[in-house]
Amino acid sequence: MSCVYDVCIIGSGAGGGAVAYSLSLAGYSVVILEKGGYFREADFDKDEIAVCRREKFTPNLDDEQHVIYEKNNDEMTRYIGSESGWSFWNGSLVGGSSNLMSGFFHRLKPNDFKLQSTYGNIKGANIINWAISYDELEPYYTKVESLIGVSGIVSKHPFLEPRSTQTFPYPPLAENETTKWFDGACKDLGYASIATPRAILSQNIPSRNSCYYSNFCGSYPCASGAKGSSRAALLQSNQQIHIIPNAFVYKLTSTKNSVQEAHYYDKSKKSHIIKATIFVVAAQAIETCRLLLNSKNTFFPNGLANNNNQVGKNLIFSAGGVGQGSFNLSKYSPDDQKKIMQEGVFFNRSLQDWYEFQDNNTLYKGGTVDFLFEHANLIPRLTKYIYDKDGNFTFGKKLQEQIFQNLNNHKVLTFEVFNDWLPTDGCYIGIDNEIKDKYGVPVASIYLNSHPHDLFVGEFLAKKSIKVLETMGLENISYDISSSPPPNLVAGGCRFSDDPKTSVLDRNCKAHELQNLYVSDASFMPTGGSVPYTWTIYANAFRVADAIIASLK
Amino acid sequence: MMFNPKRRTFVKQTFLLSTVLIFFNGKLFAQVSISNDLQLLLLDLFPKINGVSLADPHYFDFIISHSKISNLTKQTILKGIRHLNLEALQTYKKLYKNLDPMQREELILALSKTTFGDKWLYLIMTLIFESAFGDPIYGGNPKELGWKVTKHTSGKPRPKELFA
Repeated sequence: MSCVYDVCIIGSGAGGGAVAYSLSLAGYSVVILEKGGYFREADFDKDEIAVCRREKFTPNLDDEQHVIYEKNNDEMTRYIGSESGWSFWNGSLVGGSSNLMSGFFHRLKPNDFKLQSTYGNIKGANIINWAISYDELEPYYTKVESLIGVSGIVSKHPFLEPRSTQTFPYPPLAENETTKWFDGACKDLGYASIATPRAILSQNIPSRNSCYYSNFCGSYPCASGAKGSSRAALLQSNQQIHIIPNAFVYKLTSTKNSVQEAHYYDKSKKSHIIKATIFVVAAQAIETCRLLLNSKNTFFPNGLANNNNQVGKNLIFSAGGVGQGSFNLSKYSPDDQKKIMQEGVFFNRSLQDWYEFQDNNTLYKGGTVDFLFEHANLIPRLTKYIYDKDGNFTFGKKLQEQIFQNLNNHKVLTFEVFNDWLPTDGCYIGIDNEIKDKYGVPVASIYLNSHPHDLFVGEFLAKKSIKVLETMGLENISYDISSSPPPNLVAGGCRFSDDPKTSVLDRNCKAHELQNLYVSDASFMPTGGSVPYTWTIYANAFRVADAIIASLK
Repeated sequence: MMFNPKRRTFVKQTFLLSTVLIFFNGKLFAQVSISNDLQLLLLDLFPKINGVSLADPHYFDFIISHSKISNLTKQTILKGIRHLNLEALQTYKKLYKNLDPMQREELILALSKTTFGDKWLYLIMTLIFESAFGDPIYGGNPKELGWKVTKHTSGKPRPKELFA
């Protein structure tokens, strides 16, 4: 390719797609280099074996992997991805992991942008305020609501963030009747039940069909285009954007001041070069850091934009955990059983009563709890019974009895807790000295470390949440808060700030050290807030796009 | 990836017709058929329902040749077959296929108490579940019986081709 694009974007997920969309609309030539393949709605199905068991949309770990270092009780354990099966890949296809999200959409709150000044420092955590305020991001949150498509009603609650519009652009999705029981339980407890906004269309629009209630939403690409993936909402119908799938970018070359070329391998491992005026990296936090760290040159001996050794630092995830309780069908009338077992329609309820809370006269940052029915995938629901309650391996007729008695007589309501994973010195991305991928490129090392404070907050939220399940009369209630990182909720590694010495990016997510390098995925986030990240990634990427457009004028 | 029946037939022949050599007390004791042992084990772990076996033993061929199953997992499946027979020989002086049902049950239980045995049995059981309760396009779950007995409704659209 001999032409020079205005903008070259690496990665086509929420962070890359939003920039591509805006720049293309503004008349600039845009190329996207996407590591995965290009699938359309007609290609998608609900094959549990392919999508979830074999992870069709992530690389084979024997070919491409990570090396994970986990610190427990001062001991560091090294896990090689292909040997341990521990995968941090999320979605290698056009549209990235936004294809596979559940689309639980919550905005950050104003105090999330000033965690340090509101709640103070915490020993061992690298908390800073964001370089921008909520007010600066609010118009972009609103933009996402209409462009990506957010459905729901705006529920009033104590921590509802300021909004420039009164309603969501799309009406709520159909809900399971038992959400009324949830609302009743919350009322009894004095909790404010929130109808969870979803990035799923409840109505047809010209280029996308509405939700068809397949009952297999999260983890699966959407076959109707209702889910607000970057592909469906921003890229698929835009013929102006040049998307090159199966293009793995392994190196960016630069002078002292600017990036010159992106080098990528195609499916047959043939190398190609793309030239552009602006380069935007949005390969998801771990791979974004890996690309920069692997792009060493004379001017940047520690990796691109890394002369202050900040690339890869302060990696964060979403802290928290999960909980559940089950409806015992034998205790309900036939009519109520039908309500409980109604398939396809959503549960869509959240709690944010403790987004901030007091405990022993101390003010803490809390988080969000999303409630949803257990995923409809059958195989994980069966494997739960391989061990009995005493941990013994169960098989044969005994196993079958356990399965049929439990599975057919219970329905499980689950909850997911989201709270801040505090950034620490021990949680970061590096480059492994030994392991290379199938292209011969060194893989990323992921160093994991969680702050004890994360567990304290998660426990607090889970204990509050199970009261709802108890009040609803559910059985077998349990929860698990852990420091295990959810690979699909990863951020940081290229934090933004006005201080070049302690950050990689400036307030517009442009690298401090280079004139034409931007990062528009979740890598920029110095703290993660206490909600799933996708809405914020989209909103910030639209903001970054406006900054790039301003710089090109 | 398109389903290629010729290729699948070839893979079936190469794996299911293969054998595992069992060395016992330092000598070659037997050559056991992977196919026979897996079929027997499959029904021991997850018996027929209404006279029908939900899982298809050929699913293991599919797994052994699958692009997304790691080499380590493939080796573990084969290692387990050998391990199962060695345990049978040590305990009962017979190969697994020659044990009576009660002995096989006791052997599986004993194996599940060992670290490797537990890991292997869990792996085999999850693969049985995949075959028995996955989409029938993969060869198991005959007439969607696995879905009927669990009152499961599959997602739509259903797969039109295997992912191999």
